[in-house]
Amino acid sequence: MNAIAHTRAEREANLRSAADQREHERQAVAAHYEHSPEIFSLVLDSRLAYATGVYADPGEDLETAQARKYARIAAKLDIRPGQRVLDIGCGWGSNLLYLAQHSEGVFHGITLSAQQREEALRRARAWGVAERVTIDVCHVEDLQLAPESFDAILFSGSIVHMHNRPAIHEWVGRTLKPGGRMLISDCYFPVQQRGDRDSAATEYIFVEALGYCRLIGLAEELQLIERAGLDILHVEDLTRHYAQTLAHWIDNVRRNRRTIEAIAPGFAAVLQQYMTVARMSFARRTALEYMILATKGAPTVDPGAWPIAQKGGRS
Amino acid sequence: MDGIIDNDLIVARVRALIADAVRQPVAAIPLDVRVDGSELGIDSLGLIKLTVRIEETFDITMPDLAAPGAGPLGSVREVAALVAEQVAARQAGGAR
Ligand SMILES: C[S@@+](CC[C@H](N)C(=O)[O-])C[C@H]1O[C@@H](n2cnc3c(N)ncnc32)[C@H](O)[C@@H]1O
Repeated sequence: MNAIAHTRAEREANLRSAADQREHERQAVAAHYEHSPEIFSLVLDSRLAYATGVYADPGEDLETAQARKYARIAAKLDIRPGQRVLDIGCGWGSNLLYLAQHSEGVFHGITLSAQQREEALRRARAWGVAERVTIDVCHVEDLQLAPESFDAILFSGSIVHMHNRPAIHEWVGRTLKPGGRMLISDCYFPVQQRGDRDSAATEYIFVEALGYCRLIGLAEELQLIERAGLDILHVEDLTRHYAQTLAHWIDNVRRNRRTIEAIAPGFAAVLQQYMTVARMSFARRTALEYMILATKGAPTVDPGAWPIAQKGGRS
Repeated sequence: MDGIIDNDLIVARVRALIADAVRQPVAAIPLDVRVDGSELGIDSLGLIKLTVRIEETFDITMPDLAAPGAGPLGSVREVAALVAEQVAARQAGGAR
């Protein structure tokens, strides 16, 4: 299906038909996210972001860093009243519900996990946004949507689980309205290989802990986005921020080890182990985290006008 | 692990966890062999799993392997000493 394979899991995926790979992802990826939301609520921030935060300084707490991240995504997507937003891999609703509460948009989320859907919908009702939020358990490649039917499409920590990237980007290109935005926040391999991508540690995190992951190079992803007809508007490196986020998650796993073990025996160790592998990869920059913003046609936001702290000043 | 545990017991437990990690009998693990050295041949995932096992077993926090400037783990004896230090700190904290 695809040319370059970096890991054993990818080489195996290349041997499957597209339909078989989709089925594989549906089973293997969902398993991790089907664990009790109660466990993740002991580890993550209060909105349950399972993705990087953004730290203004390294001493900041997780809740503050995730709040800054939500606000940043909201500013980048710039959702106007009545606009339609799709959150692909919405988790327990972290970004989707924040955006619903901070805009007058209309939201649809998909996830592979029924547990996640239920928790996100429960929160949508509790927070009074349920009438503008729908969520389905669905694989992205099974979505049946009219062309040019959405104003914004978000992938936060989800596209890494999807093998068939060219098809996904073509679909985004078709599904966005003119003026539509796509935002990806995810993990990439540096082009110059550092570290062993066939190591036991890589296999552990990509396959054993998380089911299926495919890291590509940033330039490969950007090229697929451009080929699908979008313009790249903004790319920022959040690698250090993810290393910091993981440090907070690992401390929370430690603090709640007994409770987690009582709910799902063995899972606290899985979390701590895969999070440590990820943290070391980001700390050593053998894996990189980027947030990408792209538009179909003329952009509605102007990254050139975004504040960057002046030397000695504040942003 | 509950109750007061002495240093000999800690050395024995740490050595047993290391032996488990490399699937060797305890007698095959000399106390002065480096835990992260080539003699034992534990890879980076093995070291992470071992560290988590040690944290679970003794209810302590081991040094952050990803911290900038993090040093090597040292010998079996040194790792046991580190564990003993952490256990003592926890027990002193718990007694307050
Ligand atoms: C790491 S979580 C991120 C959750 C959320 N976006 C956030 O930032 O908190 C990844 C999510 O992607 C979903 N996912 C992974 N592969 C998917 C696919 N092929 N189709 C739909 N959802 C998928 C998972 O079910 C999970 O909800």
